[in-house]
Amino acid sequence: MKILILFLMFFSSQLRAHPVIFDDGVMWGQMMTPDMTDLQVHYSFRYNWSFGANAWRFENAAGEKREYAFAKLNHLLKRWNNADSQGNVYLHSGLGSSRDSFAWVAGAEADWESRVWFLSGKWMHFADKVVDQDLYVARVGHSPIIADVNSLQIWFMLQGQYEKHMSRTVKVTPLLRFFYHNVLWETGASLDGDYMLSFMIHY
Amino acid sequence: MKKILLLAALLFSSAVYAETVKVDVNGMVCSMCIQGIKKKFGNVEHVTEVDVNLDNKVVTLTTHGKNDVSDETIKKLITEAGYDVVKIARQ
Repeated sequence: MKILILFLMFFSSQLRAHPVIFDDGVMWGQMMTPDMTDLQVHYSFRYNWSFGANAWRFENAAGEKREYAFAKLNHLLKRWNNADSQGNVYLHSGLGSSRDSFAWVAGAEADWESRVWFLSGKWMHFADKVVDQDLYVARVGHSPIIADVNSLQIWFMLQGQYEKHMSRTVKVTPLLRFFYHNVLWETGASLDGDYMLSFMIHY
Repeated sequence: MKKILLLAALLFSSAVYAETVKVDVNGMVCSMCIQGIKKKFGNVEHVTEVDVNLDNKVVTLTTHGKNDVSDETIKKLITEAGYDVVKIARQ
């Protein structure tokens, strides 16, 4: 159970937005659930590469607190630019440690988005001395109104997570995404009742 | 009087030679795209204004003078920002 919670906490922190933003862009983000706080800062040194740091703390079901720090390198492998949409394939990598163990993460992610639809899928692999597992995450989103760029954009999203070797259940989380200029924030709750709050700013 | 004439001449000369470049761009879907493109052109010499319109997928550049920024430079900067240039039109 501890391992499962560790997984959910870690990978839920990876779900916010593009892992690479734009050339010379900085992304700062934070996410909170009932048992976790995650903070990350990324710098895109090219439009298709970013590096950053990720600090993450969670409390498992037994009340044990664990803390991780990662250095991450992300790559936009391929982008399809269409007239009304954009598709992307990203690669994730990271090295870090907890207080008592070396840890690494690797994964791949694909998304397709227009101004009214959003689809994404992600596979991640995470390992330290406690866990060595895969996780799959998918999202579908819809924005019913195309807001002016100077207005608040609202998205309805549905997220599903599946841990291949762990619970063998899909955790479903409906959420709302708000986007205003360079600020994005999300609020939602899983069908199990766990809240999720996230915030991101890029500049 | 001479000063006024000189000032007016300077003022109107810059207006006469300013150029508007409209660039059709594929792949722009959100405000983050706008921010990235504006940042890319923000420090380009002779570019005085950058406007990004997601509705018609056009980036409009205003420059000091005619051909201050070449098509090649525009394509390079848009590509480096992560998007594709479809067409460039100068006015």
